[in-house]
Amino acid sequence: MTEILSLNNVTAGYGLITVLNDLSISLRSGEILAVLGANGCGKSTVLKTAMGLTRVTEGALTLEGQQITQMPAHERAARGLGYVPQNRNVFSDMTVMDNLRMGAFLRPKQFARELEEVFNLFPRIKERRNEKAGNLSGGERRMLSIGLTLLLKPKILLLDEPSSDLSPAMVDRVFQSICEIHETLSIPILLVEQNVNKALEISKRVCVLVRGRQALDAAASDIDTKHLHALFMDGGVRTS
Amino acid sequence: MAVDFVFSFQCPEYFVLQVTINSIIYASEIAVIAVGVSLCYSILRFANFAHIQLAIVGGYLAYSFATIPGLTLPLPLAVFLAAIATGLIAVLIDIIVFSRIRHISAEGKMIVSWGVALFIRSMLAAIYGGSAKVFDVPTEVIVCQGGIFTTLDITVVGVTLLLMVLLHVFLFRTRTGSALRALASNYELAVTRGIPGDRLIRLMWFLSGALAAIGGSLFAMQTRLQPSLDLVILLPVFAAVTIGGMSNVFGAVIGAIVLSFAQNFLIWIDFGSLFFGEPWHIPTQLRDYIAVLALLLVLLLKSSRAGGEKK
Repeated sequence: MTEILSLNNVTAGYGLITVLNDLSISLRSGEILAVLGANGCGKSTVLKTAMGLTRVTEGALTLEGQQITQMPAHERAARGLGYVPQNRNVFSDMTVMDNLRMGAFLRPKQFARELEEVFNLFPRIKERRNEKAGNLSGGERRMLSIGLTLLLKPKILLLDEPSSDLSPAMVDRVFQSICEIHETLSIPILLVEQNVNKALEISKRVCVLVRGRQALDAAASDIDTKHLHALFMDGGVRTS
Repeated sequence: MAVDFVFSFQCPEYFVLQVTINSIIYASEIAVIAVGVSLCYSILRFANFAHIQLAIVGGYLAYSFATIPGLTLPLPLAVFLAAIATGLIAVLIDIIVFSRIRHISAEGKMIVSWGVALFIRSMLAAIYGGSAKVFDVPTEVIVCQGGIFTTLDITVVGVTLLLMVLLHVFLFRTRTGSALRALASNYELAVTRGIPGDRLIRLMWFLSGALAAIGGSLFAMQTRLQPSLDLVILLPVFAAVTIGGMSNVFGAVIGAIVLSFAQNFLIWIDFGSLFFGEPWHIPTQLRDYIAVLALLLVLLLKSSRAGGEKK
């Protein structure tokens, strides 16, 4: 499998604060890579860095072999990076339809056709298409957020904690949708997740972060959950 | 006309009509400028005080285009060209100043905008001098059902209405306008959808600069053009924007209407007869203090609501 997105020895953060330290992660074609770790270890920052929303001080990022380290976020989106943030993931004061139109900002001509695909995947969103996105429930927002990212026709999905703040039933539905997207559209996914069991269920490979550094990179099937919990609890850097 | 004017003072219903007319005209003058402040705030999240100076720049440019010997363009064309030129000046200010301080706090940007405003004010005084310039606008007085207004007043209200409709169509019916709304709603999400944030911010600067120029020209036509006109515009514009909700573009229009009606009606009401038996009105010189009061009230209400939510 070829590497499609790579962070090579990246040090990055916000303003003067450094969050990621000399981190190297690569996403291969056809896989779901789960990035796990305790709160504040820099999981979300990995996705933001991939998307160009942080300040990279060292290292390099490549997308399909091309350097994107200095590329602005909107150009990365045009190159195929589809980012679904954990919070503030919809345009709250715009309608669901306007949100979806913004999802298709780069591909307005294909909007009508591809909108149906999104509605097929998330029928609930179709029902609420004329509502303000700010009035949607947490689960509906998450679906809308994934839907408007799919309208970009991304080559890679960057999903930031899709299960956070959702009811168990809604978590199941969202993860089911993620699996469907991965299988039917063959999109590699870089998944940041707090729900370890769910992440291990759907991912092929797992990367664990401790204080912004990589502590573990292994196949999901090889993961020893006790070892994983130890990494989460004591924050020590270990290798499998 | 004089008879009608006296008549309107004597009959409350005519006076109400006149105060309403005056309020609509004043609200129109404020609204065009206030909308630009809101447009900027909605995306960049800071109150740009230099916007008022852009309105004055627009007024001076329109005056220059209309009066410089050899140029003397018709007034509508002069205002149109001034709007484009001021829009470009706003973009230039962004390139030179504001684009370099995007990362700093809103308070920091606001202080820098004061600096930019003072710089523009000094430049205007140096170029045009401090004496007042008067637009030569042919206007006629119209008396209708006891209400008095001028053809210029009709133009001011008409232009404002037209601009608001055009702005609404642009923001809500075009792809670029929707993208601007998306940036205002959630900048980070918008750029990750492929919306070119920096390019659209420049467009926003152009639009707000152009609106400021038209608003400033209309204001100057109704009064006089001089560098100190900014002091007359500043308070009502920022009061209107605050009342309407800083980041709500069309809320600024509502704010302008509310403020204008409040100012005109509070001055009209005979508080003396109501409470003490002797006639007494709020002096018209205190008109601006009503704007300050409205501003304070809205800020107090907002802060108390924010405090309540925090609890």
